[in-house]
Amino acid sequence: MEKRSVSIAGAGKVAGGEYHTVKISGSGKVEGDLVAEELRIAGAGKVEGAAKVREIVVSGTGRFEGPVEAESFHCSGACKVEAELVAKEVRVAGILKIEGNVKASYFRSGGGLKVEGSLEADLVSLAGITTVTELLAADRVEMRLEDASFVREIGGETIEIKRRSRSGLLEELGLPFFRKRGTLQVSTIEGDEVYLEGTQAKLVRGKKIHIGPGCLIDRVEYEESLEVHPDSQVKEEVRG
Amino acid sequence: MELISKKEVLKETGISYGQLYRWKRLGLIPEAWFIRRSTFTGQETFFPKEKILRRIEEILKLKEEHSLEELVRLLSPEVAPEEVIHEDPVSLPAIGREGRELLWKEGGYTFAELVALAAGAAALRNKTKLHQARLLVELTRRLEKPIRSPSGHTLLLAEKTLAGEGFSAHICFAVAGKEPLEVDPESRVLVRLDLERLVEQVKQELGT
Repeated sequence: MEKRSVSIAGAGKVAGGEYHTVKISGSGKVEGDLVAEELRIAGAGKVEGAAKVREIVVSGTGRFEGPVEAESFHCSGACKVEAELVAKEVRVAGILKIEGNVKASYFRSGGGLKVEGSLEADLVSLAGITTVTELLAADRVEMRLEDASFVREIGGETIEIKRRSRSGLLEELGLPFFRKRGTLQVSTIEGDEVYLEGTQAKLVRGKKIHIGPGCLIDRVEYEESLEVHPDSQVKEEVRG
Repeated sequence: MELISKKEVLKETGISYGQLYRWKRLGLIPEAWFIRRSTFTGQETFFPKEKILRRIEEILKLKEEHSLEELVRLLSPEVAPEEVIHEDPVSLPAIGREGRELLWKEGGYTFAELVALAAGAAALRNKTKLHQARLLVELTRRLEKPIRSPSGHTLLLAEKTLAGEGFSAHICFAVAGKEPLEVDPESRVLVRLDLERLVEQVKQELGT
């Protein structure tokens, strides 16, 4: 039997269940668990149960009251997941808050991200403001800092934290007063290759460690090499 | 239980941070083995020494011939228990011929069902009666979540006699829970099983 598709254009609600496509472009909600191929929220949408959807696109505001499982999860508006999120590919251009753990293959965020749990993926690329209250781990972790970010623990093979280079209009006019450098506050970083800028950490551990400008690190434990930018401070260095 | 710090694990096994975090992500190293403790440098992660070193040795040995996904199935079937379908449970020593009488279908046993049979067989080896062991099997096969992360979970089989005026009833019951798991003093515990050990045992026997 062909699965139904529904579309809410004004205000409305649909019962949970199996659908092909659910489109919400006004204000709508799904009452109960949702299984679908596609969910598109352009206005304000809410799923009141668990969502198992192949492709989720939120360009308005979305709220998921249960766990979300998807192949691709795109958010360019503001979105909140009140449980865990498991997806192959996650792309965020707006604001995403997750009140649980996230597991993904590929996770990219360019806006505001808050994870109240752990974020684990093969590749994580974050720009903008990020908060991860537990562990951020991936084979490759890239961060482009803007404003103040906070992560408790970062781990992986390659970790690259850079301040976003901005050449905004005000800066070009020679008004460094308006320049706000990104910072990251973190308790522990562990990686095989680590490059840091603008980072304040208690402990950084790894094989090859390069501390770039703007860092304050309490303790570095390295195996192969350590380089520290003159503008940064490492209180204690231990080899081995 | 002897603990080992993360740094010592890396030193002793020669694996990289990347590998450790990747294997954790895949479930090859169970979440429950990551134990956080405060030390003078802040928070530090420790592992149960024997378990983590054995697991890493297994992974390193098997990864030459298997993909990481296959390794998950071999070493951590509790992560994807639905992937396991076993046709001949009696061939696993944990179930063995004691378990033969507990079988309820021809084949196609899932991981949780195998663990349940192993629990029942262990009870029979402890001289319980068949109907009592069956209680344990029926209970255990429904424990999907605890089987995925079995640390600290216990199964027990207990009996008690209720007597009143003109009647006396003998009842037997199975309980699953987290340690410390106690029953009232009038009940007699027949069997107490560590779910984690059962899961590990079935897992290893499946892998060989």
